[in-house]
Amino acid sequence: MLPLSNIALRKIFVDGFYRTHAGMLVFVFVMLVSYCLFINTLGTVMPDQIDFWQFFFTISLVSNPLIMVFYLVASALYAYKSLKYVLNQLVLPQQEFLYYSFTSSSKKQQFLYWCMVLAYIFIPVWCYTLYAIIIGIVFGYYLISIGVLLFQLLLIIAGAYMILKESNCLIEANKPNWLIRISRKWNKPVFLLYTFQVFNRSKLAYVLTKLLSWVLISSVFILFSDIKDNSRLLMLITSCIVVAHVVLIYQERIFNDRYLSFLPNFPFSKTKVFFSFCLNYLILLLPEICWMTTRFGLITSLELAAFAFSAILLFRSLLLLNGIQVKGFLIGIFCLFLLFYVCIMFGLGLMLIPINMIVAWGVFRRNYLNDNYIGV
Amino acid sequence: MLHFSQFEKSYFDHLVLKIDNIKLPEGIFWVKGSNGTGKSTFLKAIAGILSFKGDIAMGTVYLKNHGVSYRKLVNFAAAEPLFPEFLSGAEMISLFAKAKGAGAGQAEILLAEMGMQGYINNPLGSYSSGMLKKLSLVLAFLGKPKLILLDEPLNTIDAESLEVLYCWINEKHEKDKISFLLSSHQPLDELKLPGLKQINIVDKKLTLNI
Repeated sequence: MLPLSNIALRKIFVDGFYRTHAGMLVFVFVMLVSYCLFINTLGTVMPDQIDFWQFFFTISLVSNPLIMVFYLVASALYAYKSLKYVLNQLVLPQQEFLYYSFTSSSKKQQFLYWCMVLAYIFIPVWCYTLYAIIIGIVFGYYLISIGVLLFQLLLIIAGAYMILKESNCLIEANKPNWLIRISRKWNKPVFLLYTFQVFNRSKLAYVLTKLLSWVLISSVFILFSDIKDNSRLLMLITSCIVVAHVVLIYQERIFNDRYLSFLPNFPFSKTKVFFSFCLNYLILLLPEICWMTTRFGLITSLELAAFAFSAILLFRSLLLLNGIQVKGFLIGIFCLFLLFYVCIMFGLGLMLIPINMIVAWGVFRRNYLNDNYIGV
Repeated sequence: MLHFSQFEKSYFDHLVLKIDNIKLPEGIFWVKGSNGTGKSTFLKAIAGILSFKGDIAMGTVYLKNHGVSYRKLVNFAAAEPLFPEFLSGAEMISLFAKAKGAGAGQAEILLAEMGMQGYINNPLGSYSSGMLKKLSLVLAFLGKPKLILLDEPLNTIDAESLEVLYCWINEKHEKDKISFLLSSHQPLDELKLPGLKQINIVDKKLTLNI
């Protein structure tokens, strides 16, 4: 019974966690980390300097207490995210059986299993920690290396204890979220419901998206500071902003499939359905739109907004393709981003607006009633 | 009333249902078939939710050419309805009423008859499956449809609500000439639904017992 419990827990919580957060994990652990560690710098940089910068981040982690604190905070955020995911899953009706089956085993066994579940979820973090520890030990930074490892173990133990407590409590009705209470009397148009869902259930994803958006904007400004043509730089930044929002775009599709499955039965024209969901992104991208308008003027920001919305429409339409899963979607986004980059660099950025719209409309029209729901 | 022409529904090249050319007359129909025969798929395709080959028409209004007008005429209630948890029942009602063109006061009468006023302003996250089912049935009766599709309408609702549902179906059919397609595993009460006709789905085909 015990190994089976272990497999069931792993399938429900670990596989589910990786499936749900695949986009974010691929981005954070593959793009950012690989970029920092393995990218070959262009220009006249000496090989010694490349080696120095590649090791700089990792060595700083185990030698510089400030960088270590940043890493510990990131680990704590990851632990919080994992814990939140497991606790949210626990209260779902399909997981309710755990309350009257798994909880009949001893507390010690339950605790060990929850530790294992969290340890599996922590695998991406372990990989980086292990790498840092090996380098730390090689260079003689023993204390911080062990400290990082112990801190992460402590996070897992604390997380497992909280899940244990929660899974052995009686289920209580959730208090309505502050947004539900405030917005009770507001009119909620059907095409804006996803925005409410984001502020109701995906606040962390939204905050991380905004953070990523800000990091990308700053990075592009720094990396391409030599580009004289301001419009190219701004379009590049805009495409980065849209790419930063792919997690929200993917989640919108899941939300629509799950909760708005009645929508295709509504007497709305395809054109209305195609364009109206942009209302969500008008709200979600409001911080960036405000920043653009105040910094670059109305005309430029309108152009950039048009480009952003055309790209969003294209990305949304990609999700309608038959049987597309998160991996295929991310590959598609990556290819499109490269294409955008090339077009923008050749000064064809504005042409992307109508091209994106036409392609998005074509894909949408052909696949609007796609039966192969994702994530449900 | 409902005309199928060269209808074919497949999932990943696996044929689920094939209807060459059938005209369904007006009436109340019980769609029967064992698990996995495609009853829900059939209803969802008629509702304009799932894609399919061929076409479906309500009179002269074709689903693929006159999507908006067609969807005004056809309402649907899912077997296991799932709605955004942060909305209240009242908000769902107003959303459907606006989209389906429901007259003033229509929803209030339906809610009163189903006995739902007590909790209609609560968030849907606090609803039981029976309450959600009743809400989805109310939503399916909003507007001025000519055909209402109810997927497993007997699931999870209590005996009193079932009586109300039978009354609504009879009344709407007699007064407003609204037709119904009801898919159900459980037997429908033919005494309470006089004139109930049967549609069987067997071997990916539709047979009418009229």
